[in-house]
Amino acid sequence: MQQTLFDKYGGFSAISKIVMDLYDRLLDDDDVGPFFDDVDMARIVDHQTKFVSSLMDGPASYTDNQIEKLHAHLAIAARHFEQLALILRETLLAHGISEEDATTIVGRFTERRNLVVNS
Amino acid sequence: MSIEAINEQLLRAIGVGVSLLDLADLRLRFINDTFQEWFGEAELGQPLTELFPGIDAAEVHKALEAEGRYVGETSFRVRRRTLTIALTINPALERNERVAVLVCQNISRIKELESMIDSYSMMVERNTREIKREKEQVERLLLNMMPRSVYDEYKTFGVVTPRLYDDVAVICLDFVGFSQTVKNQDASVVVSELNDIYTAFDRIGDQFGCERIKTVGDTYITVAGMPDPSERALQSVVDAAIRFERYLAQRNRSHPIGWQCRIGIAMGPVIGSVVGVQKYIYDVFGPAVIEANALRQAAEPMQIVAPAALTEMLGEAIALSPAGTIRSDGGEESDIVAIRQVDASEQG
Repeated sequence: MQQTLFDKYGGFSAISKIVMDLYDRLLDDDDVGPFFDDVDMARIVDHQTKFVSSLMDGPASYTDNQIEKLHAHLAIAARHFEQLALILRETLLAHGISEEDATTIVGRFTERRNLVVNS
Repeated sequence: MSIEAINEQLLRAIGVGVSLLDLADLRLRFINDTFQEWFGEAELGQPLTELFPGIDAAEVHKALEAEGRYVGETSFRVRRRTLTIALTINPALERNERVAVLVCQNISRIKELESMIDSYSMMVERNTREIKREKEQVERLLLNMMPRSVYDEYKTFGVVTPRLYDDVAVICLDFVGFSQTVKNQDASVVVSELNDIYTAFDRIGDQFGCERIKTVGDTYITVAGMPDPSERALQSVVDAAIRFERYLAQRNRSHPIGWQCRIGIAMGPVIGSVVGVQKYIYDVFGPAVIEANALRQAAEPMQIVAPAALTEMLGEAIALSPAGTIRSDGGEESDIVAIRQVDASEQG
């Protein structure tokens, strides 16, 4: 069986650092951060954990339908999406993910653009 | 700089929020820089309960008297971030005045990490449940293909050693005119009919201790006496064969498609093994299977035939009638008998 990116980079103990860093960067960002203004901390962390895990073939997966439903109530514009892709890429590279793998992971994210960008 | 001044500097600069409180009314008498940074609106003289509405003064006093310290927690939002602060209040004396030291530690990251571990463990638990369910499905599938003892060997060692079993009783059954039925009927109807009949055969076989080995189109093979030997192996397959036939006869009376079976029964050694590596199947082969197959071909519609040599081993409830001979591969002729159950009127 082919090794997943999740396992390649050290499983949960390593990925958890990416999750927490991404959490900090997103909340500090003035474009993307406001989406989390009224969201409970546990929910944001849960979302980030599943988000990173699913992109790296960890123990989470979302169907397109689920992604669409989860974001339907948010006015996400193309610039928000681009910004999140950029932050995701920076975070991955900051934690030793190779350029090639970061491109793969961000690619998986941007593939779903049409499911979340709605304004 | 005096020791006192150094102490105050240290207290101010430390990464923990510190405040001195009047013990009597819990008002702030001193706050350090970290405390000020976290709780910007805090002012000297302000009651603690005003700054932290979640804290009850009576509870603080009660805890200080009973346990000598108060431990609590408070959460609030700073922009979009939730800060969680752990509070500890310890009584102290300062120049004979009763004061309390309030120590605040930022445990937000611990709370965030706890949330992440919760989230991750729930994902893992769900995955584990899914894997378990899939494993059970695979196990059920494999148990349909091989006896449990063989499956256990396969699971433990990854291989199954081919094994010779003596005295295995074999039923080989097929349907007369099957090719014609397939031509005349819709494929889904034929499959549904076979599924129905084979399911009934499996149930009957199971009742008499038979283990279905395989079906190949209209050929159905089941055995008794393996993997565990049984003194009643022959009786088991005869009992099952009689019920197979009876079931079909009854079924034919109420179904548009009539099925006529031919059944050959034999007894002898067989080899049981998993065959194949990727597309593996548990199979039995050997003299008893070959003979049962030959006997099936010699049977008339709705007839069960067995070698005459087995006659002695069959009970009295079985009626036997000569059914001719078959020629073995070696060219030897041997007698065969047709088997049917003795009716109540024939007994006694």
